[in-house]
Amino acid sequence: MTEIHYPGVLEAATGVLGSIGLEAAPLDGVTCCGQAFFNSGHPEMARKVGRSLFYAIENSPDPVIVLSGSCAQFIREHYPRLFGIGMDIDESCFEFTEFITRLAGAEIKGRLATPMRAAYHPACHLLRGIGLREEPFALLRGIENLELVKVHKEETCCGFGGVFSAVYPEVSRKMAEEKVGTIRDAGADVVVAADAGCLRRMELSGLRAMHVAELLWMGVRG
Amino acid sequence: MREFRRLSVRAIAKPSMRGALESAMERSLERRARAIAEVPDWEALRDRAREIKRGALEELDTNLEKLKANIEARGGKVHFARDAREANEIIEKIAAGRGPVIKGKSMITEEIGLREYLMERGHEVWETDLGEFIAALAGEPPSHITTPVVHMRRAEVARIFERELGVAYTEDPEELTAHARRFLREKFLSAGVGITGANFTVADTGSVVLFENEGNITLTTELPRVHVAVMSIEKVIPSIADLPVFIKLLPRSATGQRITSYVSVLSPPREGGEFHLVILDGGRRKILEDEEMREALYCIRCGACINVCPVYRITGGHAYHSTYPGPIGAVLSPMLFGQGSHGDLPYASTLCGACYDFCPLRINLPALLVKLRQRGGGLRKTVFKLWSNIWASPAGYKASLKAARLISRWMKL
Repeated sequence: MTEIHYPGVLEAATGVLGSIGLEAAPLDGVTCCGQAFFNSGHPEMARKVGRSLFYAIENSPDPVIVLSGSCAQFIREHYPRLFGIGMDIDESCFEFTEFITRLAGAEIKGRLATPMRAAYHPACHLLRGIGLREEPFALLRGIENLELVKVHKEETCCGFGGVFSAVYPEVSRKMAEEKVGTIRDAGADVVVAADAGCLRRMELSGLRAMHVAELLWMGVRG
Repeated sequence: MREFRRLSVRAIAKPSMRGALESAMERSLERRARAIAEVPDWEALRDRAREIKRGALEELDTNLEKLKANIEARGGKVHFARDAREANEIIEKIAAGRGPVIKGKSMITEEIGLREYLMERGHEVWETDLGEFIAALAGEPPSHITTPVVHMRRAEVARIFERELGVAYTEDPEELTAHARRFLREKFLSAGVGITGANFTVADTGSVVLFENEGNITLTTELPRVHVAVMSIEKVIPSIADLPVFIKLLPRSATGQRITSYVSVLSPPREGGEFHLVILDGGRRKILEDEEMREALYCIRCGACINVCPVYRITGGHAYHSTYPGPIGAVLSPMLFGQGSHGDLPYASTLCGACYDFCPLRINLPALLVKLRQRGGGLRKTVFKLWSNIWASPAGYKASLKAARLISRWMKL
């Protein structure tokens, strides 16, 4: 989803990592992680689709950074069983904000050219699956001219839910409308998150949506 | 897939219901947060409870036998029912010719459709829990397992009372409650049979444990000569020493209370009374034997997963077309009532994980939901197969992304 809807994220993430002295390159010859297939009740198809990514992670001498929280969480939770235990996945595959804050222990310093008021949306699988609660807020606070608003019930799901949004589009839309409403009520007209699914869902309900990497990169470039 | 979708669309069109749900759920979650914050060893307590339930199910037959022996030693009767029909028949036989029936709130009797079953056979049956009483008057099933009419606004209750009880229209909660109280008082006094569920039963003492706030359950067990308690097999815990864990856990998770107004630990029958315990399988043995799904039976019906579920908050309980709504309902219903009729429910979740976080027994509801999706055959197999074949190769993936970008822009996906 990141690649379809937010093609600029890859470049932004590479730029942000570069600003703290880390060299990152896109992982070539890989496909989707397979989560959509798994959650649709087709684990054998998830295995088929995810195989190239599995091998790439297994063979990569460097940590693999994933730009969507739910993909990262899916890979970590399910790859060991889908592909047989053959790698220490928890130490080779990380979500982007998790990697910067927990692994690199880095702060990103930057300044937005024009002031912006935004809401950070904690994507469910990043928040509850990976357990990243405070770190992304701290990370974003490194950017000057960025005001982060406090959203009521900020930990409530946006309504995306992968196949859920296709099977029950009306409920998904209603959930997103309510989510977007709470973000607007908090005074923000931009939402930042580290998950393309959530971003797309909220964007479709009329909110400007940005990936954390994009916002950080805007700040770093100034 | 049709039923949940149809009903949820209908629910979305009713904004008054969503308002009622939203404020009720929010209050309940705030109370819960406060109530668990004062328990220093909350996480350890959850582990302990899970361990008790795991052990209880491992030794289920022994526990049920002990329970039966202890109750029968005091003169009570224990009946095993394989399914809803058997349970209903047993209870009907007990109630026949014994006068009016009053009921305490119980989800298991909702599951087997006991009230309807008895009424069709000429019994007079009254729900005595205020919420259940309102739902029954409205001719609706409960929409939540602990708060049956959480979806209703006060004005709706006022209209139902005006219409069904013939009382003057009032929206004052105290007056409405007083009307119900006056009406039910007489039913309590004339009833010959009282039927309740059981939150827990205890093997080593033969106790029946009931949590409530209104006192109606206590009256239901005490006033009529005959008390029938209905439970499903997984409700038994091995020892009375295990009970304090659940006393700490259940009310806090359910309503955010430190403890419910009444907790009755009964050793039936009481003097001069008659007691029957009906133990229902109703498809649970099958879940028990299924190691992947077994933890669904750890559920103590607190409803915390329902209160925190963002899907339930939009759709309300009736959209789940099952006795058990919300995440736990989406897990239990296909297994208890069939994938054919309830296979749409495992998809009624964004898998956000809030339920798993809140479940006092740490039941991994999202994982169970995904397993049930698999077991139901998965979503649109031919479409997914084609899609997975393209995405299995990096080249196909790359090419399809280009196409997807175009298509999504075009279709606004």
